[in-house]
Amino acid sequence: MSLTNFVRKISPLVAQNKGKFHVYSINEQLGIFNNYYRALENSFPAVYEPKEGTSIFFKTLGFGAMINALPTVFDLTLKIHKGFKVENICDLLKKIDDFDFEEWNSFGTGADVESQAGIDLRDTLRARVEEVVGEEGTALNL
Amino acid sequence: MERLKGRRWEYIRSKWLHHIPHFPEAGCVPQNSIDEISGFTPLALRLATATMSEFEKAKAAEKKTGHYSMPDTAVEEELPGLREAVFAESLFLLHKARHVVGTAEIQVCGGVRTWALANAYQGAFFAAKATLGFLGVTFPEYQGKAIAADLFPYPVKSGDEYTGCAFHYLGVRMDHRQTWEMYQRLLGVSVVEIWPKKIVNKLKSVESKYFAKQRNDIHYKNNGWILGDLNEFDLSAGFGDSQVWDDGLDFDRDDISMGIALSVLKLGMLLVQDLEKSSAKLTPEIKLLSDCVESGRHPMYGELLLSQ
Repeated sequence: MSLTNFVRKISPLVAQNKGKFHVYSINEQLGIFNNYYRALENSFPAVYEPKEGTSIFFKTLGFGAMINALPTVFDLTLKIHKGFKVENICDLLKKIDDFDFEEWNSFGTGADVESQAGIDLRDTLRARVEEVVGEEGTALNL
Repeated sequence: MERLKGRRWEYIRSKWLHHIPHFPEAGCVPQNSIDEISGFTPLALRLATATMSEFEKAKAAEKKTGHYSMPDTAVEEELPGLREAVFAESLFLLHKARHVVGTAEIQVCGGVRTWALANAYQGAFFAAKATLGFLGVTFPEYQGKAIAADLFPYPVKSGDEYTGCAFHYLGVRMDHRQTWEMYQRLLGVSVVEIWPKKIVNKLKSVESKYFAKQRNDIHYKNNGWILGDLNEFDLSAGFGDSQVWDDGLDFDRDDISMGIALSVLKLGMLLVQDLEKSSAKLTPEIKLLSDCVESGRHPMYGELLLSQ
């Protein structure tokens, strides 16, 4: 994965005044990305550190898809756990511990494929969370 | 010992999730020992040199005042890779503890029980060192003298606040008694919600010499032997019963080393089992334990060790 691609995926999330995480300080933004990838490492160790080759999480498609899914992971984790600590994210990701990330290796390349991979992950996660918390959602003070 | 400050497992656990290393396979031998971590030797040298001069000053002061006060020689630093090495070593110690306690169980079932007590003690000792490590305290050596490394040295309100480790030059090699005293100190200052209070309270309050009493009687007293099994198998019922986990430890019992071994090992196991709830990196390690139980290595404590 190139540095250009890294910036392409991260910058929209931290863009001043409009990025998903723009209300957070730089240290908090760093913490969000760091904790997210730490949680992936703890939740999917075999995918994160494969016996051979580079992890799909660090390839263009996989990284792109994971970052595409991050806003949803962030919102769901915050909604359920009121925090974004590694253990909070791990608890959420446990709901998709059977997700086949390796399949992404056969998807090919391109923005559409990356987008679709992210959508697949996001939709699976949403569906699994809904199974657990129900359609009513959680305790949001309205 | 008073330098070991209070800590909460909740925050330690959170910090560990950033530092659990990759294990090529379950139960594998750690690739590096703690004293091989880059930066440890220069730090130890700096600490030992400073400490020696401070010890000399303290001795000189003692001649004048008649009062010897231990120099405060801590340095605080984050050595990259140290936390991972401590975790790997602690986990391996726990595997060793489990193995050795298993041999004691097999011996008890076979009727050779006095020697089982010596093995049980050694298993408990490995488990105590493993638990010390999981709670952040370990004793790497420099030139044969121990340095206390504390990975969680100050009170925090979140695991992220642990950004440095404390190192204290002890000037001696840690012996068994001192290790048990450190273990007891850490049980006393640590809040671990998942631990049963009854067992912890007993382990932290008993006089430290009683941990090794049976083992020392067997090893060092020429006429020391605990049971009547020197030439006959002892297959009487109830010896080493796992019920102590619920009922509490009685240090007057002739199977107390088995009770200590079970309790100390189980307390360490609970920490790993709790971490495994958030980290699939530890799932193969728990599976290995389960396989060992299934293969008959823990005829007495297997079920309890697997329970959470």
